[in-house]
Amino acid sequence: MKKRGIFSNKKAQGDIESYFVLIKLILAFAAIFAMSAYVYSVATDTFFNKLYFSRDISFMANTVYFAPGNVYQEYNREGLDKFGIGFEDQKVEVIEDEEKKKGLTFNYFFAQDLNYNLKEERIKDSNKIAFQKSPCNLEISSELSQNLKLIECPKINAKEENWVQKKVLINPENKKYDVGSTQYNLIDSLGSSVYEKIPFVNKKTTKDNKEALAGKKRLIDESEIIITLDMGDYESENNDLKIYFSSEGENGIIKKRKDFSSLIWSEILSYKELGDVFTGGNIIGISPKQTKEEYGIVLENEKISIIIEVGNIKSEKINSLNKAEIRSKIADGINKGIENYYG
Amino acid sequence: MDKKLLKSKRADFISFNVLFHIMEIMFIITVAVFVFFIVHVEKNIDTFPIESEILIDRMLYSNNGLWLYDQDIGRLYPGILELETFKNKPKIESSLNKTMYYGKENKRAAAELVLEDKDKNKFGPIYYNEQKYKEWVEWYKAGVIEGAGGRKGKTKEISVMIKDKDGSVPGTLSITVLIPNR
Repeated sequence: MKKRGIFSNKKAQGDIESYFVLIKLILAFAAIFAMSAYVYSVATDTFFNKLYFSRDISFMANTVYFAPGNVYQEYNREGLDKFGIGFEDQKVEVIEDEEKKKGLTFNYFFAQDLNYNLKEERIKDSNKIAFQKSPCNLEISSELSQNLKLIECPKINAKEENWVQKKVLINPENKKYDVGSTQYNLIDSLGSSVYEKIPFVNKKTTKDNKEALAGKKRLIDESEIIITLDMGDYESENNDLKIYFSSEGENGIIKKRKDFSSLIWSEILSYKELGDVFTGGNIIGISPKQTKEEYGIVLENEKISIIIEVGNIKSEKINSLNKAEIRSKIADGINKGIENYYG
Repeated sequence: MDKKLLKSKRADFISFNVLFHIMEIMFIITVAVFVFFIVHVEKNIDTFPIESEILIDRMLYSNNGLWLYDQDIGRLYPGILELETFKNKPKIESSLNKTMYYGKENKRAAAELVLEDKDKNKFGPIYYNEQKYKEWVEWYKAGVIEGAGGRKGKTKEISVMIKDKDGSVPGTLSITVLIPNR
């Protein structure tokens, strides 16, 4: 009679014995590998460090996400350079030797905010991690790689054919100041610089307008884009760059004004020379009815109309604007912002 | 010797061999599990207090969080909640899930939010990771908070101003956060 079953002959017995030995060997190697990695971590005294760093960096990422406004946070810890730090799949991964991967990887979760683009790089050989948050991005790197003051919004996409044909009005708001005063001269010369540099074919300026208010209103009506230049006047040493726009009207036009303002603001502050002139600032939506009369006149329409407040007349830093090269840089920034918006 | 008896003895010997191998494998598995336990479980330190606070802050202070946020000027109004927004459960829950994304399946955190005005009118509850919250809250209520399978929890009550069309009224926002141990 024929024998049945797995132990029916010597060959089968030998096979099954081999399988058992193989399984045991695999398990033993896995245990040895895990144990050696653990022993390595303990021996090099990195066990607690990895545990600590993985959690602490994860909490830092979480905190930077909810901190309001633009954020630059430098995470600086001694001994961090012994490890490679990665940010993948909502996890902070810490391992001691990235090349040889001798130790165990420690990881801890962080909650990614999908409203921001996460740009991360693997950190190694550095005691420092730089967290930089702008309205659209969170960038994690070993060094500061972007100007904190930039409002970088890559989502802006307002490309238009023949945008240079648009009718633009440059409005230096200096008529309220005495002729020959610092404010008058600064805004006047800045208005000229901007007017010369902007690439639009159909451009006008209120600089030589003799008809006062009526003439200004007519020029505003004829234009599609209005750029007003003025100066702040408040009791502070701060010399801020502020751009005002009307927060009234259809959502579409409000967004256009805001995006337009953001790019100009960012471009002006991207120049190193101007980083020392301005102490900060923002883009600010205002109601034309509830602001100064001269601002209301230029903002109360359904057009892209912005007021660029270039510094504070009460601040000592405003004197920098007396230099032609500084005014030229501001004009360059405005020009580049417009090109970025449409181009 | 009887051939049948010989066969039976050989089968017994084979069975003993197999049994011995199985025991050996079980021993190795025990050692491996022990090593895994030392490496992955023993390392645990309790970071729940800070983690839960960060989670609550993220729900409140993020741009798409609960505090009133004026997108036009990029300004946040801490302490002020818009009732209309809070009543829109699908929108606010989807916004919270997008603001705190732990991967496709969130096994890291869950929360319940209940708003109550000064006249004791209740609004909500709103959930962050509702499915897991309802699963974990039973464990939490049963007191399973220690060890690898435990879920720690905390309830925080925050005084708020509830902004409605007719104005603002004071109220209390109650947030219960649950985080599994790791």
